Amino acid sequence: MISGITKDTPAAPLLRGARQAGLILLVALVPAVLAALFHLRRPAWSRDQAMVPEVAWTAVQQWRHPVLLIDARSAAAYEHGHIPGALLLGTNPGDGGMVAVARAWQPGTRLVVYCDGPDCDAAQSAARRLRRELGLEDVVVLKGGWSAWSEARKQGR
Amino acid sequence: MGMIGRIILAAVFIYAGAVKALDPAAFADAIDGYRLLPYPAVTVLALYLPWLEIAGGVGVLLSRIRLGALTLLFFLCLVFGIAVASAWIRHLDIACGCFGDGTIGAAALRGSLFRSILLALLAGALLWVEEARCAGPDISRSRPLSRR
Repeated sequence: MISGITKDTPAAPLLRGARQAGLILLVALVPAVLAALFHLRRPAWSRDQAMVPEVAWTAVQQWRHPVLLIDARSAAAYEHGHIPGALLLGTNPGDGGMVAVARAWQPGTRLVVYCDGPDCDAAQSAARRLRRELGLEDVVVLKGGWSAWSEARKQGR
Repeated sequence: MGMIGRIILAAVFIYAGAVKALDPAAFADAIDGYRLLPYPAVTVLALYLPWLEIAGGVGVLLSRIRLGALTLLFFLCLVFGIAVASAWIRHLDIACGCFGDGTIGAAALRGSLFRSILLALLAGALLWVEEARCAGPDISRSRPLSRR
């Protein structure tokens, strides 16, 4: 037999690719398991733990704590109208909204974050970010957001 | 040309993976924002995906596992593209989360979708070249000529 060079069948690269991909999938498991056990910023294992609770505007009005309202909507929506006293967080992390919140926050202050309405996600993600990055525990999301607040104001509540 | 493409693809994935591996809690929140997965699948993905991206990125640079790494990254780009497109179609006001915290909103999601498509094209082209190379004579398995 003269030829020592083998030629793969068309399916061979696919098989080899799948085998190599499997190896990479396995290798990545090791640091992932270590991160799950020891990472200082490891995520929560349930939505209940991760979710920031929602509070209705009527409940917020009855609080005796100082409240800092955070607007998680776009700058355009904020300019168009916002809850009096609310700080604009900004939709871009580079906007400096976090710094403004950190400056305005004082011990005992409760943060109330809102976005457009009951189906928006920006307030929940902003509230989680405030908890993570500023280490603030007393953060809630305004139930129904801007639309619920506008409705309550119309009804004189 | 292929070398430059591989370095770009590897750098993007290693960087994206490293940023998220540093803060898996933030990445879990980003994944949860897509409303596609339940907990604890969100948590598992937030812990695993960054390292898979890093391993895939490094793999692209190593000739022995390049084929598998390119296959993996190509599929990851497709999955990312589908997830971002679904968020854009559903008008979710979230950030991509691809490179840690990002700008929230439809315009930013469109940009992320475009980036995913570009990366998928790059990974696909590199994969195609690599498969053609592997389908050719396999030098690594060649044996010295035997005498009879």
